Amino acid sequence: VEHSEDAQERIERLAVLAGEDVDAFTELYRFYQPRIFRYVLSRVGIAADAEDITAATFEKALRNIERFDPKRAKFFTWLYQIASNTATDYLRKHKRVKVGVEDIGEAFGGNGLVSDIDVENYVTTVQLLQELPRSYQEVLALRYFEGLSVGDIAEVLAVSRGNVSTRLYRGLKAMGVVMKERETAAAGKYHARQRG
Amino acid sequence: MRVREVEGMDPEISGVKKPKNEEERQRMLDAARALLAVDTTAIRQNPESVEATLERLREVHREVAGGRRSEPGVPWYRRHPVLLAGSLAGAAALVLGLVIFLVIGTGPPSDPLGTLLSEKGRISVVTEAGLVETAGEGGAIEVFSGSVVETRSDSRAILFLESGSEVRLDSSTSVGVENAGEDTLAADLYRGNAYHRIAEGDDYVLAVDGLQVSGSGCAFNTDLGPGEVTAITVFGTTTVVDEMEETVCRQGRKVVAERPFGTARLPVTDVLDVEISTPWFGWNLERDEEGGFDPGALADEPAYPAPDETELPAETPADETGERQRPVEPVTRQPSAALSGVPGPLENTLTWSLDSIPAGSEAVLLKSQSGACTYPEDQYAVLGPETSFADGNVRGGQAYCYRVAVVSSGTVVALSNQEDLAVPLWSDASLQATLEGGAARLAWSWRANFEVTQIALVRSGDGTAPEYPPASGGQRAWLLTPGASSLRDDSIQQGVTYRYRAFLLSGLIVAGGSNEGEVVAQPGRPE
Repeated sequence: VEHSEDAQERIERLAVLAGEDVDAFTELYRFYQPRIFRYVLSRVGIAADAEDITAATFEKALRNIERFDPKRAKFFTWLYQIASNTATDYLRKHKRVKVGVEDIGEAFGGNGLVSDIDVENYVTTVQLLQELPRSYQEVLALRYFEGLSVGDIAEVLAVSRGNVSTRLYRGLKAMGVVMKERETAAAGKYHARQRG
Repeated sequence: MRVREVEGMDPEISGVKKPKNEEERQRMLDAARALLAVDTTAIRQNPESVEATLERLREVHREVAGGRRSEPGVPWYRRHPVLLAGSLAGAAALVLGLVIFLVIGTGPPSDPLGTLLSEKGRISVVTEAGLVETAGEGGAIEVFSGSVVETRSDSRAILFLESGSEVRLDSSTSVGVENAGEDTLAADLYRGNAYHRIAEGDDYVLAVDGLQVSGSGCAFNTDLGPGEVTAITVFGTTTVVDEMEETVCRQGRKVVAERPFGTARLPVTDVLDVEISTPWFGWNLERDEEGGFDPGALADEPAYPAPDETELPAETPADETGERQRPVEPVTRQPSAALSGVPGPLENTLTWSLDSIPAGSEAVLLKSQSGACTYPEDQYAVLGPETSFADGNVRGGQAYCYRVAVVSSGTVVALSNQEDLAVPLWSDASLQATLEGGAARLAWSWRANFEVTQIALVRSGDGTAPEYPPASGGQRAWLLTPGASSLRDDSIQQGVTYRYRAFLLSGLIVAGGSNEGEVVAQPGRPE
């Protein structure tokens, strides 16, 4: 989500116009919708729910567009902030469900660009993320799936850069531990089968 | 843009504890690699659902935009009596303002807070409105409230404040200044190292990553390092406040706030006797003496070479004219490193020279995108006996900084200058247009050093050159995924000449384009 200064300026201009000009809003929607959907999907893990949350994110953005202040935040960090809050609300209300290939597969369907291995790889990683505390999930997804800088993540989550660095560090550490546990469990099962 | 590197974990995670052992580090790297191995770019929402949402959003837009406009038939002042009162008050204020304007006139929009003077190299000031003004060595720029003053890796500057105070900026330093009202000047040290000489009676508060340092009639130095923030009181008394407590520091004391997790909102961890022996303080001592200020703790320290003197060759012996009387002292050569670099679209080429390097030490190349390279956080490669390095791990549109550090037993004994290299955008795209059974067939290929997010294929049928966004009504554009490499255009009309061009988009930016391809649809046979 790194933009050159020209693009950034253009986006901020579109954001200022979006409240009155439906075409400006449409352009912003077409540009950011895939990114927001991708981010939300990594948080909730179910394509149908991610669609609803993405739609709700843009509706909230539209209804509150007059509150967006380009001096205080970039448009995309503001949008990610709404998406993050909406996804967090959803996760609070819904019981955590273990994500499966069938839940996510349809988000990869239709374009024929990816193999089953890619989908499984994605599902496995999202499952790993879901075993972590939510505060780690969101920074890891924003940083490694979305490519946001630490400064931008700090803007999205309204915390300090130091806090983001700490969460990233601890998140990677926790994910490393979960991966190790999985490996150990898989090895245990394998040896048990061999013995059996 | 996805993060591509995991070596050294993640260059953006700074100021955190190191993994406690190699196994933990390895596990964290595995986690980072697992996250980066996932290709999320292929994920797309169902297109029908995307369009349905857009339709719904357009309805919401009509509703929201309509709500902002007046409803017909009912006068606005009936529906919004508060607005009516506000408008009347506003009109009265306008009239009053006009009267004041006519009677006493208007002053300048705001007075400058001070002037930034370059002592060495280029400096810049970014105003609150985002305008950037730069000046070369010896140049000066007026500084207004809300501005950020900056030095580069090879520059040094003094901000002379109207109040009589001075802020001296070391290289690679950024300080924001703002008039906080009631004669209080609020400053923020965003990066680097700065020396603050505060005039008697001046109300000056400096924030540095969670710490606040304030004082009047004093001098202090603040340094924002990767692992800690330090504030040294050089003269007089300062007050250092963190989230937990307030520490009063007398002359010659150094306050250290550790930032092990990248946050400075931690208690002050140490108050030490000051140990200052760097050319930076030597230069400040000189400035203090020139300005007639009390040098305070600096005066107790041995004489330092000024930063520039360390870079100059040794003085030549006195000649026969006797004009140069300085005795020649034996010179002990200090280890040194110098780096130069040339940016390229596909690689940055770096060349360095090392001098008087102690045996057993090694040279390490540091690389960062944060604007400043520090050891050990930004270690990139251990350098061998060769004296140049081509770094192919670069992306177009990105800026990288490099430094060479010479390390002996874990301690940096020499650090080169910093080279800031901006990689230009580069692409090579070609397009072929052919006529194929009444349709145009377009095929293209491209290479680029930036992330291509979409391909825009533009057709012009009205004689204009294809442009993106389309420049005329006779142009049509197709937005395609970066993986697409051909398209069949069935919508051409006979007898018309069509010109096509493929544009490489990176986000909203048109970052590259192909050659033009042309097809002339065969004229229809006469009836």
